[in-house]
Amino acid sequence: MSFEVEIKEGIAVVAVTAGRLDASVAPELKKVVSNVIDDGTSRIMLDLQRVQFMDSSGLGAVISSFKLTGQKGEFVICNMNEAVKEIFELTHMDRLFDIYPNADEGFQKMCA
Amino acid sequence: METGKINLSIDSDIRQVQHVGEAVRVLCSHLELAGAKPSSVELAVVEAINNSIEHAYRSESGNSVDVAFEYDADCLNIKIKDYGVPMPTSIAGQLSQEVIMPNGSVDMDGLPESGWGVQLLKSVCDEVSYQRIQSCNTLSLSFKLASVTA
Repeated sequence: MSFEVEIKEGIAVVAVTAGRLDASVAPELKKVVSNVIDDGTSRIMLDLQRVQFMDSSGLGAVISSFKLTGQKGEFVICNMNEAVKEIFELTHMDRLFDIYPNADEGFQKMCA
Repeated sequence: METGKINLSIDSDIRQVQHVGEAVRVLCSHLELAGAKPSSVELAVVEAINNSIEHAYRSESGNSVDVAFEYDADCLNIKIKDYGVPMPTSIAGQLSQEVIMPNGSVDMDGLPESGWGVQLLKSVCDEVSYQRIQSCNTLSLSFKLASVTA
């Protein structure tokens, strides 16, 4: 498994445990998020702490995951390293997603 | 300045791509190619190989993707070669178009989930070009190197 899911106070924290969120892992992210939503949780925090590399397939899976949460859901991202942050900046996704420097800040914001 | 050529070859299996990516990052760090950020070169090579596997070989393993590096004082040139079907014109056409990224007012539900690879390639490389000669597709990536002064 390349992902771990923990439900805390109605928020699903999806942590990527693989070091790379690339074309070989991206389809699994969509399935994991889809399963979380099917199980009744549409507030999701994606934790990228362990991700050292992301490609366009990984980015596509993140966008897809966001869309799955729908208008009633919530989707935030935390713990990006510099290489991952660069992908978001190059594509301007850093302007569109709610991104937090760490899980605590993201969690506090979602619980506020 | 050292010059050199390095060739790598992998099977068209998406799980193999990370090995080339990691090798590229280490190679760039080791060679200290000023101006070619290792993570950016890794991203470009991974995107180019993904493109070969997904489009030229339609995600089927058992085919070859060759990666050739050539560098001198001024430039790092990388050629990614495959022997599958030609690059779709929709993708090849994007190589010559200006990169336009979404702005902050875009509808998130309308964001595409695919097609970011060429945009990223163009963003991190100084030049990107595609050629098909006989049955070989070649995607050429170029990074200008900064001159190092004492």
